[in-house]
Amino acid sequence: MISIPPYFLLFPFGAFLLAFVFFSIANIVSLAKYGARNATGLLVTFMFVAGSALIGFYAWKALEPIPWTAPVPLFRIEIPTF
Amino acid sequence: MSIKSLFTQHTGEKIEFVLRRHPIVFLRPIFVFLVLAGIPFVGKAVFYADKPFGLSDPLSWAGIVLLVTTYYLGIWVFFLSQFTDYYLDINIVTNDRIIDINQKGLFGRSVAELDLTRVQDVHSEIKGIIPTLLGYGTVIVQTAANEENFHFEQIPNPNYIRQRILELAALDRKREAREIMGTSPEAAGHREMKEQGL
Repeated sequence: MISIPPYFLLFPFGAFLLAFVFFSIANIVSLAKYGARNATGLLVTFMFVAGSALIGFYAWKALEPIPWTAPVPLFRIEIPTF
Repeated sequence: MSIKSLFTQHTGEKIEFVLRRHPIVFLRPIFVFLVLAGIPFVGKAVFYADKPFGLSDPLSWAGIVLLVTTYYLGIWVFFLSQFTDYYLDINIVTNDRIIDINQKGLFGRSVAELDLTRVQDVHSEIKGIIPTLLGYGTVIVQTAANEENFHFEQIPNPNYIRQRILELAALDRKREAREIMGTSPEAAGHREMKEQGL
């Protein structure tokens, strides 16, 4: 039986988070650098950061009870031994 | 930082319009975002309507939560990119020139300038039911044949903008003609004769 701990899933998620942070910063820097720094730009930036924090919070709450290091059987296939 | 910092203003130059696409245009990305945000809820209702949804299998649960989080963060940053693209497309009309700032995606940007004296014709167009009801459309500023035309897409009050650009172009041409007359040798000669009382 093949088993892996759930924390293995965090590696691709971490790679995605890096891309997300990169694109978020690129967007916010573009808005601040090339757009007039007025209420609209600030409001949208605030909404984006708040929305990201909210998504992160719900994900954190949903993932909290997971036993990250406990091996979980991936495929219930018995490997024959000879 | 104000709009004036987006370009170097000449002496005596006055900003007439700062044009962006009509806000109603941005309803489309909002609608697309809301539809995309609703998909996981529909998926849950369809596939997990009568099944327990939780920690029965930690690996599947972690996988689903991380996948849904990735999905939401992805559409969220995509939505911000759409706003950036909308918000950073600006057309500035002054009493001297037209500046067309065009955001091309997240990492591309083009800035073009046109002196009002080189405006040959201005064309406005409102096409479709919603643009007619809300009064937004396209303004095309035509220049000399070998130069690129300026397109202001989906801007509010295109007819008024067209009219005003034509007026400003006429005024700018008059002003330039006066300046040329004021500095030409004939004009200088006339001034000198006038000063000498001849």
